[in-house]
Amino acid sequence: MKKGSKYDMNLFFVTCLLVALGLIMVFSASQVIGRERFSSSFFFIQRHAIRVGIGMCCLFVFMKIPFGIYRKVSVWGLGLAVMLLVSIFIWGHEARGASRWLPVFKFMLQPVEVAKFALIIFISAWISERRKKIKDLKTGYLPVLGIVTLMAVLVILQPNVSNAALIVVLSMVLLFIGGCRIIHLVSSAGIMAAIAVPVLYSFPHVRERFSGLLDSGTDLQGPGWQLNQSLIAIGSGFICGCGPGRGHQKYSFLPDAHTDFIYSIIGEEFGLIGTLVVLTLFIIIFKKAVGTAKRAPDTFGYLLANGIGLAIFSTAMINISMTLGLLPVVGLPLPLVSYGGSSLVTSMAAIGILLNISSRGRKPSKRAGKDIGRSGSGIYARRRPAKDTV
Amino acid sequence: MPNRYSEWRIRLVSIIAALIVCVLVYRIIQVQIIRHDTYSEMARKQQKRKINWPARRGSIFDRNGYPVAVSHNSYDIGITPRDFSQADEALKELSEVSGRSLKQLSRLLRKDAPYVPVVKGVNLSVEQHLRVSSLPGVKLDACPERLNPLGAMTPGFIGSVDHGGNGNGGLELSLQQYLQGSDGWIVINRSARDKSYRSVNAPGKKPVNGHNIFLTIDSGIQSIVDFELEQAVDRYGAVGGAAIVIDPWTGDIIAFSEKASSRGRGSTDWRSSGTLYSTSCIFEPGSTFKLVTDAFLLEKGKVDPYDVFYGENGTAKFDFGTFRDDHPYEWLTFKESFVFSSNICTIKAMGDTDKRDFYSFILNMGFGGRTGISTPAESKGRLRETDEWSGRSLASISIGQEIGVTGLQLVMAYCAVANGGTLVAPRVALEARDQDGRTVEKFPVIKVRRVFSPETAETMVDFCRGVVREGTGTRSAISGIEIAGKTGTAQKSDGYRYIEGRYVASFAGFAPAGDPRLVCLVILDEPAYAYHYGGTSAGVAFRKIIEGINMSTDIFLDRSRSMVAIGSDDEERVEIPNLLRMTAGEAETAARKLGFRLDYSTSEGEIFSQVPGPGTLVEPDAGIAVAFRTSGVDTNKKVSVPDLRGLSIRKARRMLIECGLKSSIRGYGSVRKQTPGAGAVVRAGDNVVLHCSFGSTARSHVSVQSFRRGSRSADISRRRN
Repeated sequence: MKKGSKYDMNLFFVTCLLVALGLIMVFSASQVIGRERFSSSFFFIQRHAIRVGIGMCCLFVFMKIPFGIYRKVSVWGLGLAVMLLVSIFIWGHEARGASRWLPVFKFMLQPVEVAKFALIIFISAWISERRKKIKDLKTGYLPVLGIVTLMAVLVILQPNVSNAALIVVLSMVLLFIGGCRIIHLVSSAGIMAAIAVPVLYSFPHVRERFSGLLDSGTDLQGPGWQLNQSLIAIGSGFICGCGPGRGHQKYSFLPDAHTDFIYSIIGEEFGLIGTLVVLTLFIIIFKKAVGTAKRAPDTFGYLLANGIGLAIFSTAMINISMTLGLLPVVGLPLPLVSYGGSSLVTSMAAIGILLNISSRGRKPSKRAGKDIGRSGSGIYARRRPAKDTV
Repeated sequence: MPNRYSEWRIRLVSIIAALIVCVLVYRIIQVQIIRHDTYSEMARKQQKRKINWPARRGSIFDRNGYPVAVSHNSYDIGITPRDFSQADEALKELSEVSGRSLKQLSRLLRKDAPYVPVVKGVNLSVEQHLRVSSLPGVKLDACPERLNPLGAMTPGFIGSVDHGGNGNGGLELSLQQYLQGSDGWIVINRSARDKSYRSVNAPGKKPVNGHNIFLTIDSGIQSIVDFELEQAVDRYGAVGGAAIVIDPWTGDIIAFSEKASSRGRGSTDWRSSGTLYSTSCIFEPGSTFKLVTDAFLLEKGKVDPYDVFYGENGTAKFDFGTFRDDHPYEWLTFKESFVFSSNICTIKAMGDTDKRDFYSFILNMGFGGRTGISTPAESKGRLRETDEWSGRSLASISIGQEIGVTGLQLVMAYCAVANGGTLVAPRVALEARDQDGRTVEKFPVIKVRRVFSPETAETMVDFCRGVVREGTGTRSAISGIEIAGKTGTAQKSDGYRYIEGRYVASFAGFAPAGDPRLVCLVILDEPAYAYHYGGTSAGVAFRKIIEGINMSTDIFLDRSRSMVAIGSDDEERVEIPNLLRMTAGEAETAARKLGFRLDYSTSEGEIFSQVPGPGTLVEPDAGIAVAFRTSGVDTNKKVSVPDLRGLSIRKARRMLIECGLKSSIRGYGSVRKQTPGAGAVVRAGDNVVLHCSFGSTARSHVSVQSFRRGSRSADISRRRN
């Protein structure tokens, strides 16, 4: 992409920065575990680099695909996602008591990551097609709520409570932005919470993680071990950190240092500067997504951009909150940074979609956002003037 | 289709997102800045480990530089089957060093265990160590060993080293402060799985390796003595035997040997491991002690060598009891009474000797006190106070009964005769050198005191010469070297009465008689009755030892082989008077008359103890620390702290108790430093901290205590050197 191109270059560079930081941190955090388990310090970084390559390809491919196509295939996409989620129960690979991975060729695919974005595309398409009908409970709201619930139940059954919760929250927020009645959202959220909380609390690992959150800081060896180790890593970093590669928490103290807890290692090795820079980069992504949404040519683009931005941002915030001991330990990676192919590739693909939307949006103006979607149904109808396009 | 409310909805979402970000930023600052110290400390505690970096223990060499005890690492080899690379080369390498076959190793590798020991105590060359330690999954654990390359000497004399690398008995223990060095440390990083990782710039302190000690022992002569003593113990059917060879001029112990009977007989003296008979066990010396008696009589001018005494044909009845000689004699000169070892004539020569004079002389000769040899658990011997003597005691002690001596005390008395009348302290170590060969400390020759005049010494040499020429020790004579010595045959007692048929046969002598180079004592414990006389068993062993030394060395020909000759600066020194039981006024007068200063804190009552002890030769202006016997402690009373440096803990504590002060001990050994210092005025009942020479932080000199009455003078003479 050359300078002055139609794509949002800042978004692209921020994404590249996060991915590059991810490469450095995965290498730093995975050396010890790689050496111990696979006799190679480069075991994880080699795989991660390949996935970054694949992710980058996906980014460029999705960047080029006109985003309006997704609306047409949203149902198929959702169907595929549901099939993937169901197929986990048949061919799923079990690890740590949960079947979350599906072996695809040499890779382990995590269908929930695909499902997350498939659902975002579906809801965006659903709302954009129904417009004001979305306010109607029976024809607008309940069908989509049913699909969200189905997806959430399928994910919970893996079991993967955190991603299920994320899917529900994301969907709710997207429906809220899309214009659903607040009363519908609040009441359905209340009912879901009333049903879900006791059910979820019956899962032993959920109970344990909540008690770990409550015990953190008091019982180092107890269920709060991982959380405490994360806090020790971040807390010992101070302002500048101990330097790249020089952290010690990755020496088996902090489990999953290269995946879910990579933010802790960033905090240890780059200190306050590192943690705030990463946080800032995710804020920029969210801001760029919201900005892209405002300039989107239609409602679908508006909702899709917001949905993608929210998905990446909320996942990152949940992950960071978890490492800081504000939330119980959940199995959510830090998007674009953590080791984990499915999350990385789908996030980069989503960024590709975001870049495509940005390329098709109008020039930012004071009225931007107010007249979003007023242009009518055709997604190409509101294309920018020729001089702004490649 | 988003309506006009879409904007506020996304704004609301953005605000919520901003709030979440604010919470996160606050939390990040809280964790990384506000609570940084707490988390850093937690991180340091779990990630770092300070480990000991042990110093290499110094080696012990004989006087010629031959290794006597050296440290060496053997290795325990084990494997972690999970990590072990089962390549052929790795297996072959492991098989080669461990001595296990490939089949055995394969079987071990199949074990489902985190760690499998392969072999223990393997010696590895540097190359082997490098090769094996680089194999993945192979663990080497170093096990320090102490080797005796010259073969086992008397085990209790050299001592051993425990698993922690500390001396365990013998010289290994007493010279520990030189040998052990000081351990270093290093901070290593550890993982949660307890694996250690050493970073390049890890903080730490390198260990200071222990010093090498060069002993006075001559391993060549030692082997001769070992061999001859073993032969003698077996030949004469003894329970055990001891032999010590000493340079009479320096007190250097050239050989120190003890052998228990190989036939399984033996009293507890010989069975208990680590106990040295010559320094820790006491025996009645019998006639060998007559050297002390005769030297006393000659020194005091009570008899002339040619005074004549009637031998009563072997049995004499005195007021205090009946005494017998083994061989009946009629008229014998004083010299002949020594040469033929007549008890009756010796007792008669004692005549009306004041027992306190004799007692003091015996004390001066080093009996009843420790010699200060650097071996643990040295006995003081058994010499009762004159108050406890019976009417018979003076006579009994004069012929070597009713007194318990150690072999070392006895041989040091013979050294005094051989060197012209000066008592020297035994010395086992010549010097300590660091690992680079630089001399760190030389252990000086300690001349304790002059115990009799050179004339007396010369006369006693003549007496001893007579013993070998024509007396009881004729079997010790050697052609070409004139031997002087004295036989001893003492019946053993069980503490209450003498036991029939059990004797200690001994022979102490020196060679050549005219210019003594070596003094040798041989003791045979319970030899067969046919050999129970010192002249027939111990004397013969003595001769064989001297013959062996003569054949293998030129020590009796080469004058330069003699160590440091005793100087004559004793004349410049003054003997410390006996101030015991004097009042403060009396003691002040007595001390001032001889030019001494008196140091004391309180002056109530009688003098209870004094340091240096009576009879010690010191500088004319030296101070004498005295303690008075007081009763009760008045806490309002101010007392001045006495000078306790150089004293044993027991003596120092006793002095403090006498002064009404409490004490707390740091380390062990003699007092090196005290807080508050000497002369400080404190309240009665206050605490004085005694920092001792062993186990305290500062380096201290080797604790060579001199004979009982000379601990202070020994320190003074050492400081001078």
